[in-house]
Formats: sequence, structure tokens, C-alpha cells
Amino acid sequence: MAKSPEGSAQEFSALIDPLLTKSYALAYHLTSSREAAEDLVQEAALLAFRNFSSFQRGTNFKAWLFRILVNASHSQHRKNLREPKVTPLEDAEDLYLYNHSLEAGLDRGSSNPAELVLGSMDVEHIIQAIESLPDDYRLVCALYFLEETAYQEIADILEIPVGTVRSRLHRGRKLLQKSLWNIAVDNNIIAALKDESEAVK
Amino acid sequence: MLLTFYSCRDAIKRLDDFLDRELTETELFRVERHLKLCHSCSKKFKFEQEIVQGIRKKLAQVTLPADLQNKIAFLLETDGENKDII
Repeated sequence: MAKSPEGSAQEFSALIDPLLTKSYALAYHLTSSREAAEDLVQEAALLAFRNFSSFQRGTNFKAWLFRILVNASHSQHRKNLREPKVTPLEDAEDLYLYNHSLEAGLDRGSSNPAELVLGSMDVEHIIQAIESLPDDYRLVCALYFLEETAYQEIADILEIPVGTVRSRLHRGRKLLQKSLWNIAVDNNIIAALKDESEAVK
Repeated sequence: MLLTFYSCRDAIKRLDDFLDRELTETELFRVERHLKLCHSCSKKFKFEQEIVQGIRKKLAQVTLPADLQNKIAFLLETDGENKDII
């Protein structure tokens, strides 16, 4: 490996290697395509390597790397001149999935309705739901659902105030639940679960 | 102050912060006390917690493509030789 101007290549590898899977998952949320996610992770890794000398030792490398990845996704987005996704998701109510699961009768029997619905969905459905969120909400939700991440760390990565993270996350979660429900309906998952639930009755 | 009792509405308003451990100690105390007494809210909180955990569990299934780590290692090794690679 070539030597980073002021940093050690070994040190860089030791820091980035354990984060590659999460980086790829984040890139997948941001690009919604496995191929584009691979490109984005490679671009972010190279950018991070070239700028490793500006990383302050002892600070949060993951936040630094993810910030580079998010910024690279913005420039890739511009480079591809891709039309921004317009998802006319109006505000969703609180407890969207809970209320709709109950209305659909999915709380009958011993099964847990949350597990029933999510258990019947593929990872691609979840990614599709995150992708359907307006950009600001998508970024915050992608970071939040990637792993248990404190609001402050999300704020550091996106360089926005914690209060903004909190409000975007609160609304984003509601929108995500609505989107998940709609995807489950469109894919006949809810209809199938309702049939099963009726049969158990 | 600690004797103030949260209504269901007060508790639900704090649901996300509760799940994310972002409540103050006083708020946490009040929410927990409410949940002990309110079966309906307790069910809702449990459901929401399972949704968050369920989504994270699903997303954990995204695995690194087999050769991506090698591609990155190669890219970094050859950086300098091929500045225009990206």
C-alpha cells in the first residue's frame, strides 16, 4: 500500500477495515444499488486515505469516515445528474405500524405483530422504505438504523445540530413506518398475514 | 416535581427519546412509572422497540461483497500511480 502523505497506511487499514461492512451498508442506503454502493465505498476509502493526514488522532474515525462517505454520495449524486427522488409522503401519524397492524387484526394469536410484519419483509423492502424518504430524513434514518448510534454522533457525521437530528429522526421514523406498511401492502404481505391470522382464529 | 404524573399523551410524546436513551433522568423516571401502570402504552412502547430492533436486525443482513476489501486495498496500494482511477 502506498504511503499516505503524513499518515501510516497500516494505521489507516487497521482503522478502516473493521468499518467496511457498515460503510457498505450505509452506501447501499444512500445509493439504493449494490453496484453504486461498491463504487461509493471505494471512492470514500480513497478520499479518506488521501486526506488521512487531516484526521485528528484520538477523535472518532468512524464519524470522520462516514462524513466523507456522505459527502462523496452528494458529489456522486451531482456527477450522475440524477433527478432527486421526489417522494410525496405526507406526514404520518404516531404509531403508524402499531395502529395499522391492530386494524388489520395482526395482534391475534400469540404472534407479535411487529415481528410478523418485519419478519415477512426482505432486507430489500427495508432499504426501499428508507430510500423512499425525503433526502434529509433518509440520511438521518440510514445512520440511525445502521446501528445504535447516539444523536450526537449522527449530528457530528452530518454536521448539523443535535436538535435537527432529533426532529428529523422523529418525523423520519414515522414516515418510514408508513412507507414500510405501504410496501408490505403492495407486496401482498399484509393480505397473507391477515389470512394466516384469520386461520388461527 | 418528581410527583408529576405523565399522561398517555406525555409518555407517547417521549417514546422515541425513551427508546434512544435520550431522556433526562426525571423524564425517564416519569415514563417508566407511567409504563408500569399503563398496559396500553407499555404495549405500544414494546412494539416500537421491536420495530427498531427488527429493522436493525434486517439491515445487519447486508454483507460486504466478497472482493470489495481486496479492491479497496489494491486501490490504496496503487494510489499515486493512478491518480485518475476514480
